[in-house]
Amino acid sequence: MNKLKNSLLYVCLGISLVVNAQAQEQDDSASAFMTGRDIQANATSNISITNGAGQSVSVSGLFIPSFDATTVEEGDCSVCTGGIVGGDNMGGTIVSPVIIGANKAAAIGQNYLYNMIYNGIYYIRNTVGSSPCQLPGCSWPGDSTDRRWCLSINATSLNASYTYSHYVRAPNPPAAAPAYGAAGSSVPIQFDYNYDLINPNTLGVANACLGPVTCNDQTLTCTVATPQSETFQPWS
Amino acid sequence: MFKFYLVFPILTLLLITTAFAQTNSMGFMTARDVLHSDSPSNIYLQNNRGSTVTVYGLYVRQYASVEPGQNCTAPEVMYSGVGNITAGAFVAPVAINAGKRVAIGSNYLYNMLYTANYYIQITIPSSPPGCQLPGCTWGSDMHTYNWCIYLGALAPNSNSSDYTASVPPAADAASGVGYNYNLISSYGYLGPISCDDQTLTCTVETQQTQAFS
Repeated sequence: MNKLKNSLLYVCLGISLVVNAQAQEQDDSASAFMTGRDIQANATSNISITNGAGQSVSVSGLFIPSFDATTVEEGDCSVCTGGIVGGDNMGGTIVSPVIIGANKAAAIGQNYLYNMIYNGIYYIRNTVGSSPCQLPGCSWPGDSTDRRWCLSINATSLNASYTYSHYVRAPNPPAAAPAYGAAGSSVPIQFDYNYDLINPNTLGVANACLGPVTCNDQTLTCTVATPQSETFQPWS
Repeated sequence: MFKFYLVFPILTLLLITTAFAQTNSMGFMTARDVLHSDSPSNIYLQNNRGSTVTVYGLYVRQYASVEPGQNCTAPEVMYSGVGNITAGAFVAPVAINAGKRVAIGSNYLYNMLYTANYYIQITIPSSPPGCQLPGCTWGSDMHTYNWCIYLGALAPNSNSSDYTASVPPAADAASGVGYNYNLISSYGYLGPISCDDQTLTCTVETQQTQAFS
């Protein structure tokens, strides 16, 4: 009888360990800004979003508030000035629910980042009207092939501890993210909402200016050479 | 006896890993879609050719609206596929075997409609009214719609020497002088699609498939 009990104990322990390991794997995927291609290829861009807010935060999406370009030769992304486009508008947005634990970083996948820049270029063309490249990898005819991107990235959330939205349109609660191309936050004059996890005034200056970002238009991927991260924390 | 104890955990591991692999095949998915494979969009892309084809992206070729409860037999067109524009493109290489189909994730589809809305607002603001968000809950969205779309699929069909990319730029023509990225030649409406701005997902009630051959 004792042998049977021991057998059952081992089986339950084994199942528990395996299920736990599987759940851990799913948590890792949940904590990442990835496409299926990124997960399959285990391909991170080397850029991540770090939660410095002290508690777990649910992020609804990422966007690119500022684009700058450098050359292959200079490779200088020390400061993001919004030379191509800047502001708090949600160009280059991808929305996808991701939970980031306290003091954890969530990776951005190579293909996910490619799509952000791909859509961001369209946003640029419809705002300032000029981009050095039509595709992220600068391989479209007429593109300036020696250019590389310098970016700032912001994250959106409805987490009331760090952002707020009074924009209630009964009977609907506020959406999880603003419309594409809308501002990440809006003063009370119009809608009175704030989805920005990072104070836009700190992006690219106190917070990281990311890059140089190199993209490939055949594989639809973008990377930086060494690990870089954008961090959000409680607004001061 | 110790070997016996090991058999069960290893067997369990194999079963769970296999089940996970089966339920999380990487189609047109975001990480959210992979983790919630039990809530797909119910829309599929099928390869009717005799060999594997790598599809490099999807786009919203034609975008139309219907009142909730209506089907897609006579929707109001917001922009037409005649323009051949890759609005709402979400690009990712996905290989589809001959005769097989792959799923489009509900969050992946949400992102396609999300950016296609921006194309409408910026490029053709005079089009019939739609919504700022796919689920029509943004503050300026005064009416709820469901959506009917022509699904476009991108891959280099023929290239001139000038066009070496796998996809054209966002919201440019899918085909033009010297290049053709359109895999599909015959389109039918998919929908009605309903979207949720809280979960960031879009779905149709029953399975629907767009094929290319």
